[in-house]
Amino acid sequence: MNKNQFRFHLLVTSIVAFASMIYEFIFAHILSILRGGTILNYTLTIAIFTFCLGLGSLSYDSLKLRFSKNKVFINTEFLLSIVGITAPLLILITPVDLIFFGFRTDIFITYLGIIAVGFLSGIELPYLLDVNKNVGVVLSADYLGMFIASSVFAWYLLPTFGILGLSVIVGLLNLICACFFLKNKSIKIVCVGTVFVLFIVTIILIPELNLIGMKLFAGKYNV
Amino acid sequence: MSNVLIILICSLCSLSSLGYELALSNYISRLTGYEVWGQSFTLGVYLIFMGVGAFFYEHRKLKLKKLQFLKLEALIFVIGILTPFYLEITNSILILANIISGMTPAIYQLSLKVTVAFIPTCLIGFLTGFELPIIFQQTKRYERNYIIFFSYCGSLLAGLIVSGLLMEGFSYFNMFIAFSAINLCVCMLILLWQKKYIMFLLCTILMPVFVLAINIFPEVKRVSTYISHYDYKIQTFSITNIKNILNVVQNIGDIAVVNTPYQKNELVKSFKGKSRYAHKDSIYRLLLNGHIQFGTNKEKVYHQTFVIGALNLIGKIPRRVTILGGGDGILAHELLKYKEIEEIVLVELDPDMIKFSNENKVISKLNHHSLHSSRVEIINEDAFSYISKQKSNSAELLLIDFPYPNSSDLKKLFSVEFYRFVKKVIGSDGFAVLDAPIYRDSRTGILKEGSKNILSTLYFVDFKQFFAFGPYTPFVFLSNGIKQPKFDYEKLTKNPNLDNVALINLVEIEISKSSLLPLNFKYVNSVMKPIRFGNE
Repeated sequence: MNKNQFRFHLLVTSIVAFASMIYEFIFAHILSILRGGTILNYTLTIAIFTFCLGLGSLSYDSLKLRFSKNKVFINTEFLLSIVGITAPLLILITPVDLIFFGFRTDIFITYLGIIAVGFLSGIELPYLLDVNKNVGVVLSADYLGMFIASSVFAWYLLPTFGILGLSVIVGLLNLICACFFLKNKSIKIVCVGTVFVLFIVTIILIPELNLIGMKLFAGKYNV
Repeated sequence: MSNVLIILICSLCSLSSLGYELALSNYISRLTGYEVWGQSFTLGVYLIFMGVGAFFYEHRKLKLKKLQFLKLEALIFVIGILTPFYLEITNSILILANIISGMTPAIYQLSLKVTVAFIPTCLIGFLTGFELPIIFQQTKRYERNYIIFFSYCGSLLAGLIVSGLLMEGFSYFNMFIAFSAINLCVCMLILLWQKKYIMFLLCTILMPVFVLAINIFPEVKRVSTYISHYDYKIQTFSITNIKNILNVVQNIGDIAVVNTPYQKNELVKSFKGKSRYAHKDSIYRLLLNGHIQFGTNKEKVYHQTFVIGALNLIGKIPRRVTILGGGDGILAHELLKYKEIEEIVLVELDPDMIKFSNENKVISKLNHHSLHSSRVEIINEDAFSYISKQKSNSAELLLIDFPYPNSSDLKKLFSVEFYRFVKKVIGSDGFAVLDAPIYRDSRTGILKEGSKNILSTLYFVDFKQFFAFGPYTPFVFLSNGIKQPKFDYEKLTKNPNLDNVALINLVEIEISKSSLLPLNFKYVNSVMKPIRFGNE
C-alpha cells in the first residue's frame, strides 16, 4: 500500500463513519418527532446503535470466510445506502394508526432502521482494519468522522438539508465509497460518474425534497 | 475464571465511561437548553478524545502493565467523582466573577461555562481511549472480537441505565455517583484479576469517601443554584452590594428545584434587599430549563390579557376550552372565573409539573388550586401527539401557551405540521389564540429573526384570520372564519376581572404582508427541516 492509497483509505474510513453517525442522528430525530422527549430518544438510539455495531463486528469474521473481503464491503455499503435512503421515506409513508403486534408501525420501522444501520456499520470497521494494519491511525480517522458528523449535524446539516435531503446525500456518499472499491475499471468509472451526477441533482432539488417531506407528513396524519 | 473477569472488566469499563459521557451531555444540554447540539457535540468530543487516547497509546508504544491499568481506572474514578463538584463550584465562581467584573453578555458567559464542562469530557475520553488497547495487549488475538462485543454491550447497558434514570427524574449528579460506583467495581475486579487480595480489601476503604461525597453534594448544589440566579440583580460591585450578597447567602431558603424526565423546573425567589430591583413583595420567577417562564410581578398582565382578550374577540363564551401547555394552572384559573365554561381540557406533557403547581405554595396561591377543580380535565400527553389525534372541527377555543422555541422538542410545537393540526382541529367555527414570541425593533419596526420565522410558518399554513393583539409580548389570533373579529371596548371596560384595559391592545401589530411576502421558504419551520430561531 503506497502513501496515496493509505490516505485514500483514511478518507474512506472517516466518510463511512460520518455517514453511519448521520443516519443514527436522523433516526433519533425522527423518533423524537414521533414520540417526544429528545434527550431520552437520543440516549436510547446511541445505546442500541453501539450494541449493533458490536454484533456487526462479530459477524465480520464468518462473512469473510464465505465471500471475498472486497465483496463484503461493497455489499455492506450498498445495503447501507439503500436502508438509509428508504427508511425515512417508509416511515413517512406509513400511516400513524397502523398497529403491528401492539407497536406503532412507524416507530417499529425506525428501530429496525437503527438496528440495521448499526449492524452494517459494525462490519465496516473490521474490514478497514483488515486492509490497513495501522490500527491507531484507522481508529482515529473513524472517530474523526464521527466527531465531524456530531458537531455539524445540529447546527448546519439538519437546518439546511432537512431530513430527506440529508438522508439522500449521505446515502450517495456511501454509494461512492462502494464504487471506489469495485475491481473492474470501466464499470468503476461509470458508477462513480452516475453517483456524482445524482449527487448534484439532489443538491439542486433539496427544497423540493423538503416540500415533498412536508406533504408526506401531512398525508401520514391525514391533515 | 480469568476469562469471565476480563469480560466483566471490559464491559463495565465501557459502561462507566459512556455513562460519564451521557451524564455530561445531559448536563450540557440542560445548561445550554439546546438538546440536540448538547447531545451530539458532547458525544463527538468524547469520541475524538478517545481516538486521541488510542493514537497516543499506539504512537508512544506505551506498554502498560496490569498494575498501571489499575492506576488508570482509579484515575478515571477520581475524575468521575470530582466532576459534579468541579462543575458546580466553577459555575458559581464564574457567576461571581461576572458580577464583580461587571456584566458581560450572556453568550460569552454561557460559552465559558460550556468550555469548563468540556474539560472533564475531554479528560475522561482521553483516558478511556487507553482502555481497549491495554486489554488487547494482555489477551490473545482471537479473543479480541469478543472483547469488542462485550465492550459494546457495556455501552448498551449504559444507555439503558441513563434513560432509566432520566425517566425517574434523576439529576446528572446521581448518574455520576452511579457510574463512579461501577468504576470502583472495575478497580476491584482488576485487583482480583491480578490476585492481589490484600489490596482488594484495602480498596474497600475508598467506600466511606464515596458515601461522604454523596452526602456533601446537595449542600454544594443548593448554594450554587442560588448563586446562579442572582446574576441579573446585582449590577455593580460596591460595598452595599457586598452586603446584599452576604444577606442573600445568609437567607438561603426559598428555592424549589424539581428534575423531571422532560425538564428542570426551578422556582426562585428574589430577595428583599436594597437592590435596584427591590420590590414591595418578594418576586418569584419560574424557570424551565433555565429559561424564565414568568415572574410573579408580571404574571397578571400576561394571563388576564390572554384570556379576556381572546374571549372578547370571539364575542361569546364557549362551553369547552382546550389549553395546550400551561401546566402552572393560572390560565385555567382565569377561565374558571366564567361560569358558562363547562369544561376545560388541559394538555400538559409533564405530570410532575402539574404536581409541582398543585403542591408548591407560591404557585398554588397564584392558580387558586384551579387544577383540582372538577371542571378541569388534565391530560398528560405531548401536545403534538394529542392534537394529531383530534378530529377535525372538534375544538371551540384553543389556547396555546408553550415556552419559547429554544429546544428541539419545543421547535416541533412551532412547526408547519403543528399549525396544520391546529387548523384542522378548529375547523371553520373554532378559534385559536397563540402565545408567540414576536418582537420587533422598537425604533426601526423590523421584525426580529425568531419572530420572522414564526410568522412565516403561520403564513405558510394559510389561516384566513391572522393578527396579533395584547401587551408588548403579543398573542396571535387564528381562525378560519370570514369575518374579522374586533374588540368590543365597551364590554372590556365593564369587565371586573381586567385591571388595565389599555394593555389589551397596546401594540396592535399589523403583520404587514409586504414585509414577509413573497414567502421565503428559508424561514419556514417544519419538523422535516427544523430551522434555527433567532434566540438560539
